[in-house]
Amino acid sequence: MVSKTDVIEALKKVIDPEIGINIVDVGLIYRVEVMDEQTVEIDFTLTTPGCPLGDSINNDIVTVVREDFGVQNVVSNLVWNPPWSLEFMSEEARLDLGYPI
Amino acid sequence: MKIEIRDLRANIDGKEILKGVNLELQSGQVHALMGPNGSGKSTLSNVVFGNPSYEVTGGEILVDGTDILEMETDERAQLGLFLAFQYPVEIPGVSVGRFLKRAHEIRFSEDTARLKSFVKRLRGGMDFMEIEQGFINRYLNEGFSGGEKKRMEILQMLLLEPEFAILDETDSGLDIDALKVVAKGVNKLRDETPFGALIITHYQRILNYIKPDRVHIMYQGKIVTSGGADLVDQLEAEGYDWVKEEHSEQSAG
Repeated sequence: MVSKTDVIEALKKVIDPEIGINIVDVGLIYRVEVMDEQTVEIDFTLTTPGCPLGDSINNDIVTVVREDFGVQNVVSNLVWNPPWSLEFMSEEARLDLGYPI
Repeated sequence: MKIEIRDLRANIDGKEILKGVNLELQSGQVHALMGPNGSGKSTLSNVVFGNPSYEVTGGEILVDGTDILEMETDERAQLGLFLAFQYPVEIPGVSVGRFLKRAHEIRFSEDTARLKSFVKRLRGGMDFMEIEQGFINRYLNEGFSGGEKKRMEILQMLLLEPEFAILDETDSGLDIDALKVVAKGVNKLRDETPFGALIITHYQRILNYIKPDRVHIMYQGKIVTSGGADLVDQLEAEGYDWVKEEHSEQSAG
């Protein structure tokens, strides 16, 4: 069975096109749960509500996990609680964007 | 890394400052460069790094056998050369952390593991250089004291691990505590990496903490005397008068 760590690592291939940094380092991935060999659940958020990139990022998440690990059921939920904030972003990403760490 | 400076001549504003400098430097050795004001020490460091204000009129600078005089400054830096500025510039709008991260990425573009540990290295380096972590988020050198700027230069050097560095009067304007921290940074690289340096200074003080393998004295655009660390003691005791008397241009006509 695929590990949670592997899934998170693979999700770094998904780039937030607005920021140009992968969604894991931006802090958009709230939860990854490997339920069984065929099912992975992922909660993710967006930096702002109404961000038009939701569908695109959602598709990328599902595609990456399916293709990398052969998981059939990728349940990806867009969630808004808690609202995303800058502290969720990795220190490296914040330095790249010129935000304080 | 081996640096061979041969018969180097350079002008600024049409005035000849370097009049045939010969000097051999290499990783694994620390040399000191001393000399009276106006002898050309800072010009030499500027020319080694390709400051466009200076016009090279003759000679060559070979790094591992390749002449670097046609290279841009950033290309020279990517060879593993580093200059700690005499007067570090303030760069408003660019934070210390962002600046150092980018420089580190360029220097170690091939070394993924090292790049991943950047923030840890940065924080460790700051602790070592006794710089508060809050400086990561400040704009580079903006409003820093003289001592903070110099420590920042050495922090940058620690993170970039150059093979050879020129420290242009890094000791000027430092109190004894800051001087010891700067020396600690230089000695760390010297002990742990294949690091070499040319320390440009007016004072013996820094050389008490960073022992030079060789000492060179520059006067009127040339290296006029080289020797061991004892040369520093002689300068401290006697000043530069004997150098000037022995090597004045007038005697050569």
